[in-house]
Amino acid sequence: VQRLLIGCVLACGCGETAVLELTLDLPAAGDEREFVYVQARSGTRLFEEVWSDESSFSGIALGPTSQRTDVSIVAAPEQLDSLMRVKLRFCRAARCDHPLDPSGLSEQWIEIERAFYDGERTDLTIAVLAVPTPCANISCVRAGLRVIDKCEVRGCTEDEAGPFCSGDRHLCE
Amino acid sequence: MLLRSIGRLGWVLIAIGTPSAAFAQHRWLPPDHAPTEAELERARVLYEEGQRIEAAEPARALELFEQSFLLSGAWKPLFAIGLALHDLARCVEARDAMTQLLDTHDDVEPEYAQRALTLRDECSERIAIMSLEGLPDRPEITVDGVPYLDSGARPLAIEVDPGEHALEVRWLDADPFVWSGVMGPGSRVPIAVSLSLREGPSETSLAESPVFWTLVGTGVLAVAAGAVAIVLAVLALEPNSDQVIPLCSDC
Repeated sequence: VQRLLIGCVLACGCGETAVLELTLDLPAAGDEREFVYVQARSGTRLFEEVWSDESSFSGIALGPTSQRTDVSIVAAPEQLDSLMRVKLRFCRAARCDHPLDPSGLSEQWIEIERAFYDGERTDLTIAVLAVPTPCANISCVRAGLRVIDKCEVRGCTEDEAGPFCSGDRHLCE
Repeated sequence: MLLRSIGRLGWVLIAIGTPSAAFAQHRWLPPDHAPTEAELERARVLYEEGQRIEAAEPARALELFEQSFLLSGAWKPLFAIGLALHDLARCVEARDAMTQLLDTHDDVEPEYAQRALTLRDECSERIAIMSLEGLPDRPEITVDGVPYLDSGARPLAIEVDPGEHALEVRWLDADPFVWSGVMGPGSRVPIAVSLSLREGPSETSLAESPVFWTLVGTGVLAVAAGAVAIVLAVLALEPNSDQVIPLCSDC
C-alpha cells in the first residue's frame, strides 16, 4: 500500500518516474550503532544541511553478522538530471531519533553523479565494510565521502557486470 | 517545502496588537540547546556556502543562512538573513530580522550593528499598510494566498512589501471579499471590507438542475480515467523493495 501510494503521488503529478534499486552490503552492528537510516536527496541539498525526514522509511536493523539489504529510491521527473546525495546514518535508534544519536556522527556519505533515467529502473550496490568510526566534526565525515560515477550504475542492459556506459554516455541516456 | 523548509519553519508569527494597528512579527528560532562543535562547524559551512552563492542564488542563500542560524544562533547568519531579505525586496521580514538581531545579540560588531540599524530604518520606511475597515469578528483573511493572523484590532493594519497584492476575506457563508492592487512604498491604503450573508440555493433546485448532474457525471468519469492512468503508471515501474525512499529535493 505504501509503495502504491508513493507511486501514485509521483505518477499523479508528473507522469514517468524512475527507480534506483540500491543494494546495501552492511556490516555487523557496532558499538551502540545497531541501525542504519538511509536518506536520499537530489543535488540541491548539501550534506552539511539538516535533512528533515518525512518519509515512512523505518530504518534497517544491523545484526551480529554482515548482511545484504535492498531499498528502492524513487525519483520524480524533475529530479532525474541531478546528482544524488545519500547519507547512511549509523544510529542507536531505527530512525536516528535516540537522544544521543545527533552527538556522534557515524555516517557514510555517498554522492552519485547520476542515478535516474526517465521511466527506467537502475541498480547499484554499495558495500560498507565496517560501521564508520564516529566523527567529532563534519570535516571528518566529509573525508570519508564516496563519489560514484554514473557509469557504475547498472541500467538499460541485461549485462550484470557492465560496462554501463558507451564512452561518456550512460546506456539509459 | 520543509526547509524551504527550516526557513519557513524557522520563524514563527507573533501577533502584536496596538489600538489602531496590528502586525505580524517574524522571528527566527535559534537552537534549543548549546550548539555542539559539529553543529557550529556545519553552521559555518552553510554560512560560507550561502555567501558564495548569494549573488547568483539569493533565495537559496537565504535558506542556507536560516539553517546556519538554526544550528548556531550566531549573529552573523541572522545579519545575513536580514541582508538577503532586503536584497530580495522582502522589507517586512528584513526589518524583523534586523530588529531581532539588534534586540537579542549584544555581541554584534559595531559596524554591522550600525548597518543593521540603517537597513531596518530603510525597510521600515518602505513597508506599505493595508488598513482593513469594516471587518467582522473572526474573519478568515489571506494575503497573497497566505493566511493572516487577525489580532482583533480595528481597523486591521496589515504590513506588506511594496508591489502588487491580493487580499481575500471570508466570513461564515458570506460571499468572499476580494481586493487586489498595487501598494506603493510607504503607502497606507484604506480598504472597506464588505461582507453580506448570502441565501443558499435550496436542495430541491440543485438536485433538479441538469447542469449540476452533468458536472457530477463529468467529474466521476474524469476521476475514474485518472485512477486507471495512475494504476497503469505505477504498475509499470513499481519499486522492488518494501523499503521505499522517495528522493527529496527540498526537505
